Amino acid sequence: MLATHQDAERRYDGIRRVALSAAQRAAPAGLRYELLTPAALNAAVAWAGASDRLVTWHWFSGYSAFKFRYPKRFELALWEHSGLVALSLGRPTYNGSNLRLDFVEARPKELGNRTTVMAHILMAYGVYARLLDAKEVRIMHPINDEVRDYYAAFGYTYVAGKDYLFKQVLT
Amino acid sequence: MTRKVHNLQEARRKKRPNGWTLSEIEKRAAEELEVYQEVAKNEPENLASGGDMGAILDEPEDDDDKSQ
Repeated sequence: MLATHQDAERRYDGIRRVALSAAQRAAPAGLRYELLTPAALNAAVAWAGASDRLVTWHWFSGYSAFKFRYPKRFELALWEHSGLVALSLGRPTYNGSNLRLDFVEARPKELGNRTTVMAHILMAYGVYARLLDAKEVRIMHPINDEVRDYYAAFGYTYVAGKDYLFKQVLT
Repeated sequence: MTRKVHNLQEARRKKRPNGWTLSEIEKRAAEELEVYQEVAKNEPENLASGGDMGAILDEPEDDDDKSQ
């Protein structure tokens, strides 16, 4: 790993922690924001057994690759009491002017009731975007029309050619 | 014409890195969450977004095209 990569990893780790702490202060009791810790990744392994799961992602290897490639990434594990309810990974775009939400997955409902997650996740992305002075947040590759329309209800605009939704970071 | 800075320390104090203070960011986060909670009532039962997690290392780097 290059020294510049290590330096970026260290600097942005600090910013990620500030973002999660700020999001935590705005969150309701019972919800907890954390980095993608081994405990979170382990908890997500159980999701593979759910028949209603929408994706076949392997969060351990996916996170490892994402972390290796993107030291400026944003990552969050959302816990409801002692249960993991969502994971997400994102990163600034190449020039740093926008923040991408590359992956998000909520715990499949088959594995038990949970709170809604996207409002809390988007709020945290808004915090990180402002810390980086990003101009917009982009949600990449909505998995189906229902999910895409749901994101649009938060004020996001769909770009069909690139398959993402975006929203300006309001000042 | 550029303005000459005579007192560097004062200029640095006035400069707001990234345009936001942390307290402003937290205030905005709380406001946004309040609005978002209304929308969240219609969250789909199961939710995911993203591309091929197995191809992260193969993605192109230059992705900064404008949205509109």
